[in-house]
Amino acid sequence: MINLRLIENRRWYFLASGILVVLAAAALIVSAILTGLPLQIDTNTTPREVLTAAGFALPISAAITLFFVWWSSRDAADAFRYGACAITVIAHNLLVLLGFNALMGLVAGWPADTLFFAATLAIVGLSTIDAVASFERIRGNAAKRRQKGRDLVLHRSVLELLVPTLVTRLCLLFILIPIAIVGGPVVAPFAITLLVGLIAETYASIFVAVPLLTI
Amino acid sequence: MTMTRENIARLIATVVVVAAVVFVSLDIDHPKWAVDLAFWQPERERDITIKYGSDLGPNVQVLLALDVPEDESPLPGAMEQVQAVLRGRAKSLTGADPTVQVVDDRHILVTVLGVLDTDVLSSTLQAEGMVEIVDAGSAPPYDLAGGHIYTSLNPPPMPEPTPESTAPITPTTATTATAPLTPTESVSPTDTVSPTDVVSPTDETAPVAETETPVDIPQVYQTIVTSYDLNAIELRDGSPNSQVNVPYHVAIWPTDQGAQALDAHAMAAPGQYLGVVLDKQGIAYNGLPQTPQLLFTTSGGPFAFLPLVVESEVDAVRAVLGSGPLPVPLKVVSVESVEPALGKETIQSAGIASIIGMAAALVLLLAHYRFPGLLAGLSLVVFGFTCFALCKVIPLAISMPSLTGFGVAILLALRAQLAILERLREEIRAHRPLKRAVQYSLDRAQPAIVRTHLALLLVAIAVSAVGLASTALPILWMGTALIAGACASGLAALVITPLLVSLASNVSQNWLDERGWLLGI
Repeated sequence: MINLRLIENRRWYFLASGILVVLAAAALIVSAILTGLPLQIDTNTTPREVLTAAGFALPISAAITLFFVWWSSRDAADAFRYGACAITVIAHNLLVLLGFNALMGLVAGWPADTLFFAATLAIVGLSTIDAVASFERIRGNAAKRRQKGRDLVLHRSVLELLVPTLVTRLCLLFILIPIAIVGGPVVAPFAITLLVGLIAETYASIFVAVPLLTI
Repeated sequence: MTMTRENIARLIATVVVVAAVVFVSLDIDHPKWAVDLAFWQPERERDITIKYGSDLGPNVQVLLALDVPEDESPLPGAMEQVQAVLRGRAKSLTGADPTVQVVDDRHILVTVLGVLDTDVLSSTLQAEGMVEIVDAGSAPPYDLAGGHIYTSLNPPPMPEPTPESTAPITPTTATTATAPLTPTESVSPTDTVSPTDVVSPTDETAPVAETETPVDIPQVYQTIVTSYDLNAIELRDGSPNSQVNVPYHVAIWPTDQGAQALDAHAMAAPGQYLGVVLDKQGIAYNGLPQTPQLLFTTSGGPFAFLPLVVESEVDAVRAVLGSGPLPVPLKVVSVESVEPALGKETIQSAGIASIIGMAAALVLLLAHYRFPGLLAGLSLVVFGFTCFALCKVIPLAISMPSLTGFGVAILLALRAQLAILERLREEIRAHRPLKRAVQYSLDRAQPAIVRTHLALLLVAIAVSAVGLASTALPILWMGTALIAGACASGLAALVITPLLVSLASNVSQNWLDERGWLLGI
């Protein structure tokens, strides 16, 4: 008998995710109160153009993901739900990343520089890939197993995606951990930020994105 | 052992593509014909070498300040225009995209990749860039070159009147040139210009008095049109036509108003030569004197002028001409050659870590999926070479943001390979014959692979477009790396791996069937 705890326990996953988001928002607010800005933007190394571009690129990328997921699920009855789940996960990941940077800005003086914005865009890209791959698998399984319940389909899809998800993350960890250790004062914060984003994104793609579809 | 004709054709096409990718990736001096295949690169800057961003390669930083009084502030939009002009000049000079950053409302920092002559860079960036087409007299105006040219727009300072200075001023004439430069052979002009006559460069400075010790004042040429009357002006390589043999020439495209002014001058002063003056230095002249025809207004351009610049000045003149005049004068505050922001050791460490990561991925594939994992690993190696080759031919500067983009692409590529391998393993475990298992697994994995690639490609195009529109090079580089990586991953997952797996299942089905452990079961 297949264990359905992933779906049954979704409230706990949502709770953990919610706590993470609240902590991130708190870090941003505290940083704004203490320093006047939620992020310590390093204007010496971050051209104004990069800030502008990142400010536009992040929401545009998220919007593209929303519409792409909705379009590719258009045959499903709840197509928009897939898109909404994808954008929720992207927002979750972004908020965690921004909050982490705000916290490290206060604690260790990490700036929000060009590399940080590159890391946020990378996490949006990874979230997009994961969302599309997960929902594609769920739709495929749902079509094959119409007689089974939705929860069973979702659970099976997550299990099938687990190996590819973990193997790809493991490979990225092999790259990022040495860089975080030997990267020096400029690259190490970037690698650690990417690591945190990667962990948040992996968690959200398994424990938030798919269970969200059941709501 | 069976191989379909379709598979053989795909194999040959793939081998050709892979060979081309590996050839471009090699660190060799590529032959000219190969370099010329990168036709989308500007002809003069065409090459297929790796370029580094300012964080990974040495660069020069030039800090410029507005050369206007402190109490004057530039007009709205002037700083954006200055940025565009500086970007164009630096790119023309170096062939690589510079970073042009507004530091505050009076300072701009230009970061140019590579190691170059800082004097040339400074003078090029701060050059006013004002072009004047002047009436150069009735003889070929070789004396325009090399000197400081005065025009009616930029007249010489008037001598201080002194009580005893009744000195007569004897203007030099346009025809008494001291020809410092002889033009490259045939001065038979281009089919273009037909001038006029107004020329008397000296009229306005006619002598006023007579004395025993005459004092020469400089020649003053009459300005007919300026940069603002030109749609474009370029220094181009080669001769403008077969009648002249020059290494380069200046081509101009006047506006309607500029063309009318030039034609009016040609009608009024036939037989005169025209000179092109850039920042008070003559850089070109029309090969034949003007004739009273409406050439400019009727043909529109381009009109070719023969060069007066020397070889060492060509790149700087080309850079200044191509980017137009500065809307406000600038002065160089400081010039600094800087080492890569991240340091060599960091770059080496990051490179080694990346290689270790990729090697670990290949070992994981091999350990978990065995023979299919080996084929996927080969496909990933081709993906790596393709990314590298694309970096060289686009060209895309290697920097931390672009490497981050490739990091995302590696994940996409790995995920696509795993999608195929997982499906294959499912089919084999369901005891399907190998050939059918391969076919089913490819068919089932393909839609998800296509959609993930398409989604990332759309995001990457949006990121690149935003980076391009806002001239944020790191964002542009990252978006371009994502596009290149998604294309390379698509090639690997949709062409190379299916081909390798299909070939293996066709060629050695029985052999593999007997050795189930090689298939990971």
